[in-house]
Amino acid sequence: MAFKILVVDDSQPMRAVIIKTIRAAGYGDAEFLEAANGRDALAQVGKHWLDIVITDYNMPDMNGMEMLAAFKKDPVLASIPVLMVTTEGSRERVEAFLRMGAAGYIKKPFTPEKIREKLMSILGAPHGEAFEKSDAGLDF
Amino acid sequence: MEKLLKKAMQASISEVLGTMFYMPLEFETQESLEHSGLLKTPGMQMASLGFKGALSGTLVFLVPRDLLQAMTADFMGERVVSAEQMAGTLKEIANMVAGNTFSTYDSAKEFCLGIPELITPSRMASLRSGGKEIFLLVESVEGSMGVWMGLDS
Repeated sequence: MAFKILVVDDSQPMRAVIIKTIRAAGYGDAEFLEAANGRDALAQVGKHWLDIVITDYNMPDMNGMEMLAAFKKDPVLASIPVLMVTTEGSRERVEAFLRMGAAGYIKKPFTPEKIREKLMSILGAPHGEAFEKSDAGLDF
Repeated sequence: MEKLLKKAMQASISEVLGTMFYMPLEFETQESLEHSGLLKTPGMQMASLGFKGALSGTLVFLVPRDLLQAMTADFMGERVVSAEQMAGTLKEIANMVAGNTFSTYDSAKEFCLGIPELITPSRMASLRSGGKEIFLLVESVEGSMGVWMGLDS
């Protein structure tokens, strides 16, 4: 069965780039859902089972940290890994993400290799295929 | 402080536009916003983002419409892009440049970034209220852009 991935970012172009990058990383058969902020994401998780949530931090209405806290308070949602992909790079902020239970952190701008590496460590290899890195690496 | 901040801005712009837009860049660090001509360029697009913390102020990313259209198309891997996608890309660039500038400047200090928004030339004029300013003129193969930062006194 394909992975189901929720991408949360208030920037539609950034959501599209993250999805394209994940597909290029070998997870081409994954099913993607999108949300523009934490509130939108919470509305979606009630309707779908998810393998991972990939979220920005700085969003209107409900930011990534508030969304992560809501996930961790819910006994069902608490087990879904949440990967932060954000420009917020202060040590304090990154430590706070991890202390609150984020599965990982990727700083924007990111390379496709970084996304692949994190997804492999959280989800494991893409279903049905062993990914082999080419000399040229991945392209956006 | 301003010298270090300017260096951090330059490193951040290179990282953001190099990593996600594959743009080789050159910087003109002595240029002022007035003399750069960017404010007089027809169709100039601007996104601003306020910040608070160890420093507070506003960062503005300025890019001509045609260049933004080409950058958005490259970023998204699409031949045709909408005005909404161009606006989203510009706001995301401002967000990434600001976040990376502050983590490069001092990762031990916390900065709170606002939500990026598109601004008009008159809003840009009102942001320039006489406080400290830092400006970088960014030259790419396809045209010039600018990054302006105003610091609250």
